[in-house]
Amino acid sequence: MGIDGKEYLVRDLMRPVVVLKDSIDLKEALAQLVKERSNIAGVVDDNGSFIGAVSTVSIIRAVLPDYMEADIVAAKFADDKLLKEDALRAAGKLLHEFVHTTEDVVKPDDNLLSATVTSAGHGTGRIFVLDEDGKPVGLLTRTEIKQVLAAFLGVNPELHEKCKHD
Amino acid sequence: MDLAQIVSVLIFGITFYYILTERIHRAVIAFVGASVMVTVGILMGFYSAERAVELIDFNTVGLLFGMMMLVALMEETGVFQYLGVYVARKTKGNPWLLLISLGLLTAFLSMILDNVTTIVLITPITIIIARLISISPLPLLMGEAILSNVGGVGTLVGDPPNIMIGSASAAGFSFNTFLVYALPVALVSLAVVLVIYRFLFKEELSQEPQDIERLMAMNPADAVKDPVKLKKLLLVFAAVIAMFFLHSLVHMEPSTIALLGAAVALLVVRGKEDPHQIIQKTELSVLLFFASLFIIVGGMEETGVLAIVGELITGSATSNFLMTAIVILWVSAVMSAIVDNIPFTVAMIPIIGYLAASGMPVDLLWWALVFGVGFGGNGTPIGSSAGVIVMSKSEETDEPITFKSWMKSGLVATFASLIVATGAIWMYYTFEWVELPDPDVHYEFGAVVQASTHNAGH
Repeated sequence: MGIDGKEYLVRDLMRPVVVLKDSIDLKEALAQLVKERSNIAGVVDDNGSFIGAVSTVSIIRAVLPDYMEADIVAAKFADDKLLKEDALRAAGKLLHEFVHTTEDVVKPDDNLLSATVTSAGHGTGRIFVLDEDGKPVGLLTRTEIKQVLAAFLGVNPELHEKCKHD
Repeated sequence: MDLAQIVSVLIFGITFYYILTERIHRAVIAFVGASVMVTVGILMGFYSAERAVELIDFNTVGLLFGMMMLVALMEETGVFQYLGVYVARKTKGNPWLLLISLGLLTAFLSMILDNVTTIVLITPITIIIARLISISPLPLLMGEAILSNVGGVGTLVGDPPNIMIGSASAAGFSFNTFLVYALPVALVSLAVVLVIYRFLFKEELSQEPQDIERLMAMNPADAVKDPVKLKKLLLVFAAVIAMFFLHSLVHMEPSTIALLGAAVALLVVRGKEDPHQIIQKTELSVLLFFASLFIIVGGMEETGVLAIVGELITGSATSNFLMTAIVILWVSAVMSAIVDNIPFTVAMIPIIGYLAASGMPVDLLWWALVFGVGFGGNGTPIGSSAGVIVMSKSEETDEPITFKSWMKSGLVATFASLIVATGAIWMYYTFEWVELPDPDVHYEFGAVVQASTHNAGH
């Protein structure tokens, strides 16, 4: 059941997605994310097919040595100088070395319930939208889902009005 | 050999092949092997489920479980990192003193706690300290890995093989017996390894530490999240250690003490919480592995295979007891450097046990096994869990420990420790510090017969 009788699909609410090639390095990926003001990007191979995601968290993990990440108590004794050294050391890592695969994907013509179930089921806030060829075409975040749920309950006048006019 | 014996050897052989080659997870294949041994044993009439349960050494499994629970509670407190930073600050960044202090800290912790936990918690703080003052972490990490295994040899609870041997030895080696016979050997080995490393890592240990103020700015207290909880746990731990010293006087098995300690520790620091999270940290798969090994070897015992093996080595043991002990020491060491020392120990225990069953005093052979499996693990980076962990943690440092670099320093340390152990075995024998076989006695399975009586009877 949509808003005011209109059935909304993923394509109606998805936002543009930042797409990065898996052959670029961490430094370049970080520059793109900063430029696009995004915390996540879809990663594609040379054919443009989606192979996974890279997020700010995965970049942080790629920068931090495993021994530090695994021991929060020990990490308290490290300082910014060490973090800078680690960042410089990790700058050349290629995306395919630390891209994480994700099953949080939907299609543009899936309904919002499907996206909501995917989000809840995987405990994730960001779902990639892939076209029929497996290429990333958009991103659905928990913000969009939240707005839809709020519109259902009549506490999101902006979307409510938007839906009425569509 | 009869059919039951052949079948039990086949089950044992196939299971151990997969354990040693690590093609299947060791706990899974051991569990499969144990299940097959019991099933086939019931069908062929040489084994029963009740007997299999009887043959699981509760002392070993209980002591491991109790200590794992205590360590799981302890590691949450940050005490390991506190100690690491505390001793490191005392050295003022001197690399040689850091090697001694962090290495000995790891060794002494490994004497009462499991090596894996100690190493997992000490190595990150070591790498951070080395990076802060711009010195090489290589000698420090190698020292910690090697010394944790050497330290573990010194006490009954320091290494799982010690727990098994302590429990299996006919006399039942107590905590204090280990302090008398094994600890001095471990301490001498610690000193020898440190001296050798002073020369092996001469270049790295001569580095001038930079930015010492970064080390001195570290406050050990920052590592402790909950001082009240830590104090409670330290009290329980101290009580457990004190009880270990007294266990033969109060007639309590070490396993009972460890389990009691774990129960009290849970009550005082996590009494209102579901212990699920702590139990998850106790590596139940290790306990399953141990229990399964006892059942598999028990099957061979029931069919009489171990008696045959025991009889085969009885001749050499009686004719040259010292040489037998030294062979056990070095063969155990070589085997432990290549494969997991736990299945090797489990297989060796009933064999030495059979010699003991003939009435022959075999303490010297038990000590040879303790030293062999304990020191041998340092021979290769895959010979011990501590080695595997340290090598993996070092991968993201500027000087990762490679197989080659391990062999250069680890093998030397192993050889030195084994020389110390060989000397100890020789002294125990020569000065009769342990009970030795009586040359005038002919030992037979199930009976001890005075040579003169035996001869007269024939």
